[in-house]
Amino acid sequence: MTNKFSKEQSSLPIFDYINEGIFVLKKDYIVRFWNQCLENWTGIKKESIIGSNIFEIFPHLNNGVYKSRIDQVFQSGPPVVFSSQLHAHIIPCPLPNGTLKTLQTVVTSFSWEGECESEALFTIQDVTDHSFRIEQYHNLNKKLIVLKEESERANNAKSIFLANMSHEIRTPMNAILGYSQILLNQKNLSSDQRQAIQTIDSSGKNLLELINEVLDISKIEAGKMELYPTNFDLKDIIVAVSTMFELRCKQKQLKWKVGEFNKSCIVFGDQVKLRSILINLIGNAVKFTKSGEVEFKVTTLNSHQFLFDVIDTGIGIASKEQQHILEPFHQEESGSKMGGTGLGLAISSKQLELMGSKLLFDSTLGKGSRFYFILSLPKGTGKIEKRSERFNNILYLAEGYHVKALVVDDIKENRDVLTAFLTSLKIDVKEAVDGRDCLEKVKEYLPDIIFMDMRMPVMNGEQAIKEIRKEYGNHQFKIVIVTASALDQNRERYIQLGAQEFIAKPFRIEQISSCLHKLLDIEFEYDKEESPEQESYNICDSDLSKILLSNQLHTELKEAAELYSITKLEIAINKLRCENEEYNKLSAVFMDLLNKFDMDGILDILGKLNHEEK
Amino acid sequence: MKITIEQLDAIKELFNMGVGRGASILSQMVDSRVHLEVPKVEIFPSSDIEGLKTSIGLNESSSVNMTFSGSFDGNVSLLIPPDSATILVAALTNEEPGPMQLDPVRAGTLCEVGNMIINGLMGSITNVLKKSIDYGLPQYTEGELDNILDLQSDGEDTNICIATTTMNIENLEVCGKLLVVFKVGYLQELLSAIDAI
Repeated sequence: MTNKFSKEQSSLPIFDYINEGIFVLKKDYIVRFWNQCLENWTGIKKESIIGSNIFEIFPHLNNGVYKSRIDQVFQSGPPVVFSSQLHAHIIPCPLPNGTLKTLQTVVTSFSWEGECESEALFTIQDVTDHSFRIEQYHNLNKKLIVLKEESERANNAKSIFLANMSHEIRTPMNAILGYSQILLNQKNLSSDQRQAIQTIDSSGKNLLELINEVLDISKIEAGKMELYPTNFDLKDIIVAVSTMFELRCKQKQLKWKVGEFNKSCIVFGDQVKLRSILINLIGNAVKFTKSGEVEFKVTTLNSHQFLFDVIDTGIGIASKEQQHILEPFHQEESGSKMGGTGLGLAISSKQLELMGSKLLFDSTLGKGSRFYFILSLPKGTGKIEKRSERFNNILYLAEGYHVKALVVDDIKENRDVLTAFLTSLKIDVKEAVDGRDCLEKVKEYLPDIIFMDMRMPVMNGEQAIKEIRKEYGNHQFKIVIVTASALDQNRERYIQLGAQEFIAKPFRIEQISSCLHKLLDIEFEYDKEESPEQESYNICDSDLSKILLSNQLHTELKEAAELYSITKLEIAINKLRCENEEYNKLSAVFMDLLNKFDMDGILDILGKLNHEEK
Repeated sequence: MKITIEQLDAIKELFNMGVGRGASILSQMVDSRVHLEVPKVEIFPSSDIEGLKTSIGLNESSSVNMTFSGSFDGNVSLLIPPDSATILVAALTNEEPGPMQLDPVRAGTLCEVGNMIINGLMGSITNVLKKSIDYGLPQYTEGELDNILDLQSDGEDTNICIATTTMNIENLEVCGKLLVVFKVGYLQELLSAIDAI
């Protein structure tokens, strides 16, 4: 038997030499042994306690929680554990600071050779220090949890603030951009008026782009950015992006090289994000290259992998800056001079991560940069979704088509702009001010299509759609959600809700036209003439040579461009326009470059202009 | 080894009594009634480890383990699934325990609770057997089942009794599984002792 001691060891002297509390109880709870360590811890001398009943000294041990378990030990039962978490002070041992030692106790059964009665051996460990550290750790953990919750709350508040702010900004933007587009569609504008409206339109679009960038990065940080893959032709994107930058390079006298990508290649992926990444990377390349060339090429690596390369001979990135350039809000010195939010690369990089790719770059200061990434785009099947470019020059509904639309929005300006546009297309329009009003109008008016805002008082858009679908089924009335809420643009969810299409505010007129065409299978009459604003951005050297600017105006323009002073530049461009009607085309080019923050482009043109004292 | 339904019922009763004893001490400690479900008992030969693991149905667990020897050899383990362990520790210490990874509060508390339940069971078994047994010290471990339970038999045949029960403390449901591994022959002896009652 293991748990048997020889009677000769009855004084158990060896236990006086260990740093743990040891005592032995006989079956009648009389203390048989009390070691030196316990004497030190409790101040109770062994002479005074040995032979006494333990309950007289420590009455709490008579409590059932202790006694019933210790009784089991006296019946040769298994060891009993009194953990420091649940029974820390089985024997009170005072500490100098007035508290008690934290103890961990195990009680084991043993008996003496030749005797059958079991006695209880208490082994007590001092775990005060250990427990103190655990407590510290737990307190620290609690603090961390509180801090984490606070930061989550703050982050959540930030998201809600951004969503609200976006909603608040997008609502007036919707009216500004909506009306500017409607006005630009009018034929009888003077060139000054057209120029002014174009400025409103392009400045509005710039402002919207800035808001969108800030929102994009917030969405990425909140983990709310999602992919919307569709089938598309990779060649279409390459051609569109190339066309866009060919002209910009020409204006800056840069050589534009684009790799050959002749074959149509239908793939499945998020074309909107890919396009924005390419525009961002090539835009940067053009922005930061003063002379030399910008090259864009796409190499097919295998059936579904493509290498996208943007190479420039620009200013390059200093090696100490390179590790930071993909961080949000980071702009190196040269970047901050060029304007913008400093978010472009961070957004592109995160968007690529979302697509399972990684933005890579090599760069040498003063020599140029190469930004590249490998993207997996599986082969596309089915129908290709074309962007709605064909809806740019719409006049009105083609003959024989008749459409009734209901515009539901609580904000008058929003209703006005959409109604004005739809009316200009010769569509019959009625308006509703909230979900409840919408339900009534639907009943009496039976529209073909409903443009539904989401956030409305009385009854919101979601509730209204549910009611409509419940009452009329899923197929009567096409519903298009038009919302300004930027953090909640989950197309899938809206489709599940029973809507057919989703458009973010501020909407583009082409989106509305495309939507009408797609959902109602209608056709439009188109304006056959090229719209005047298309040509105004082209200006060739022979045109420039005909212009003679005053020295003063030339200097004003040059200084404003060099200092990135947008307001001064706008004033100077307006002066230019007022000076001579022949300068309209030049001022349009300047305005376009200004809107793109392309000051180098403006300075280049100014460099080629003749100017003299008037 | 053939076990009759009556014997299985008797083992079930033995486990029920044993766990009940442990639970009554636990209820004194938490100062509220601890309600115990009648355990479901199964017996597996050590050759059917996979069957046993399926019956346990846990990938990871907290475990209090104690060996016993002398006139009767084997070991006994109480397995508490992580969720139940968290509830139990929170109910007993009024502290939100940390996740598994040997949080000391969790380890100490569960070791004591396991000790109470196991002792209750061993008390019942020795009452029936009327034989003295020597015990090792209870050990607390946690982690993946394969790491905390040494189920590989060392060449000898063993029988493993597994009893699953659910305790209800202050309307908190806490599930626990008691595993008793008996070396060859001892289960038969236990059954004979049960039959003799």
